[in-house]
Amino acid sequence: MTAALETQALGRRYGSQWALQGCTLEIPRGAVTALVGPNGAGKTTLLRLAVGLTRPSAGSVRVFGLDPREQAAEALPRVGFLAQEHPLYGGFSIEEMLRVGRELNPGWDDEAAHARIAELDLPLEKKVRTLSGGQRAQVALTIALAKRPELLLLDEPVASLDPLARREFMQSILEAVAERELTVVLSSHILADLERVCDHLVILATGRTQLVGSIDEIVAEHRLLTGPRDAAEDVTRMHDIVRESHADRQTTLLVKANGHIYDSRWTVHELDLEEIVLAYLGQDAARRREAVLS
Amino acid sequence: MALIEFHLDSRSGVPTYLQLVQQVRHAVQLGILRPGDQLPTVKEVVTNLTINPNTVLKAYGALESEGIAEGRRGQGTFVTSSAPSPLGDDVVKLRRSLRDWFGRAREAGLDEQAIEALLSEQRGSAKARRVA
Amino acid sequence: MTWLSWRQQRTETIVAAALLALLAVVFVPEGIHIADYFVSHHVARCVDSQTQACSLVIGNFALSAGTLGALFDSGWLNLVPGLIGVALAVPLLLDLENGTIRLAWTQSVTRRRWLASKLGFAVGTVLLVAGCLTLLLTWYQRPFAQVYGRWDHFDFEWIVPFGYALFALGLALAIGVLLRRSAAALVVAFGIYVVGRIFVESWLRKRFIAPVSATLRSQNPNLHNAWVISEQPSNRAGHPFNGTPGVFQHCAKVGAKGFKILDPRCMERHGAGFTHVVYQPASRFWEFQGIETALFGGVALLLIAFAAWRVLASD
Repeated sequence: MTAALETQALGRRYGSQWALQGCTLEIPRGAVTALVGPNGAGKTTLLRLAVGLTRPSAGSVRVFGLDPREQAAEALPRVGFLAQEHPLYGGFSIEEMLRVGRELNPGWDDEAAHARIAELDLPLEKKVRTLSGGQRAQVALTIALAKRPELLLLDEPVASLDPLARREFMQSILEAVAERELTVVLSSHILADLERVCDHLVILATGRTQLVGSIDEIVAEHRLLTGPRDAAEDVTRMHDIVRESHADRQTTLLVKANGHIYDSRWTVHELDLEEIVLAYLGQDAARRREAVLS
Repeated sequence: MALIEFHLDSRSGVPTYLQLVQQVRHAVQLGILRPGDQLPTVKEVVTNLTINPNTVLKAYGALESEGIAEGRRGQGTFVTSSAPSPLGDDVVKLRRSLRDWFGRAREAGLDEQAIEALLSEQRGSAKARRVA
Repeated sequence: MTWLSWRQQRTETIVAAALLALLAVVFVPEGIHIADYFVSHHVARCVDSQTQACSLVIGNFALSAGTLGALFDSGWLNLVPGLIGVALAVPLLLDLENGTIRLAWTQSVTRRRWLASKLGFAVGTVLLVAGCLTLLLTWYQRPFAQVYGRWDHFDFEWIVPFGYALFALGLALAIGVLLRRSAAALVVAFGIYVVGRIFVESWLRKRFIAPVSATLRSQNPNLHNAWVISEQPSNRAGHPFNGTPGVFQHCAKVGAKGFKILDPRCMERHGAGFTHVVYQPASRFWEFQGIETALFGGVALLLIAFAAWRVLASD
């Protein structure tokens, strides 16, 4: 079964700067994937490449096996995209925005769209520019969902929303996932609630993927080890060190384990997802600092 | 209208799906859910808790392999007839003695944290005893 | 797709239509009045006549045009096709500036189809409004065209307004996709439109086709509604007379009807007596209309094509 989203050494350059490089990943169908990373990490670039708004400078990107740019006519009806600013035509009413969706999408489910707007308690004649941030986001989401996409890409969808609006927005997305097989990729620089909502993770930093995989596997593979300093080398040889810190007598290592850790000198702790993500992001930041200083 | 409603304790360290499994198990043991009753639909759980539907599916899958519930195509997930039956009288008695114990603990001046610490300790050693 | 393209330019279309309606309200009553005057005072009979009585009739007719005539002559109306063209570029430019183009391009229609529809509507609306404009103004000045010839108000007749309006649209689109700031782009585009129009009207137009040169015996030749580019007293060979008029004092003599006239042979001896004219004959009016429309329209199409290419290729 073709993956919902697949990239091969994907890269995008603006002038001499690579916003994204060497990105290779595969998002299975039905997954709800978090795309995390600091600002400028390349999240928006990756999403835009996936929907065909931008052309790759290197490598390739495929959605359901289709090139989103060259095969736009076939790919676009299957992919929904929600840009960060939730673009809508300000002078239009909600009813007119729904009409836009109907006119531009042959697969449009008008009944479902109107039902959602009714559920949200929004009057159809209201002009879009008079809506609050949360309401705008919900209208934009309604339009993205009513075309019945198989893959939904959201760029920082909740960054500008208050906590209640955020919760309601995520609720709407997850309900849609529950109703039919919808693959979701949402980018965020907020880490809270990730584990609750997502089952896959992609960590991006400075245009490169740091970690890709299912959250269950990631949590199962990563461990925090505390133990004597001189034992560090043995671990380094067998497992990938994500973060290390040394006190006088004790070393703390965050590792991605290749297999079970039998060494009894080490105390092994489990980690929650947020700690793992932060470790990867911190590792990248440290590397960048070194590069700047050297 | 769903028969039961789940809740999540995000600080407990217990994976979400396991919490759902435990809550169903408890509901069955307490007789709140009986064989043939329908568990909340995936959509209902998702709407309530704003969690990933796959997590709910995982929980219901685990319940299925434990034999507590079964999924019927197009209809939902239902408590099986072979689910462990409620503990009946024992449960009533246990409930009463637990209520008494709480009352005595408070009289002895224990606050919520002290009670919680006692319970965790006992729970931990009970688990250890079961494994060993 | 058609509904959306129309709806997005609804405001601009209404503005353009309102402008046209305003012009109609101003010009139609006047135009009817002038047409009536033309008929009731038999102005048509005096058109090619040289008599003094007819000069009076023509003079009075000219006055009947009133202040509107002055507005017409002043050239301010030339801005109207520019306004129409620039206005209809606004919806697409706003789409680019606001980022709402990303909404349109992530639905199910291809970029090409979307752009073709939007541009089609813009161009169609521009042509429609320009068409109404030219109908209005051509009708208004029909009587004047009969008296003074078509060349006088070349800019407001027949097909050239289409070219002008499209030119303004093309400029606004091309500059808009380069600048990405709608307000600035519109101002710059309008400015270039004005400069371009002035350039063509004052310098380029007379050179579309090499003008006719002729040396005529009459002092006040009737050129049958031609566009006179230059008219100078000259000698028989056509060389301009470069003396002072005082030199003809002694050429005066009493003529057949008892009036003082200048002896033609005497004038000739002094290197005058003829008139050298450089002009475009009236028959060339249609050719010139075609050339100017093709010029502005062709540039417009290039600009629109450029804008379309940039938009389609944008990342």
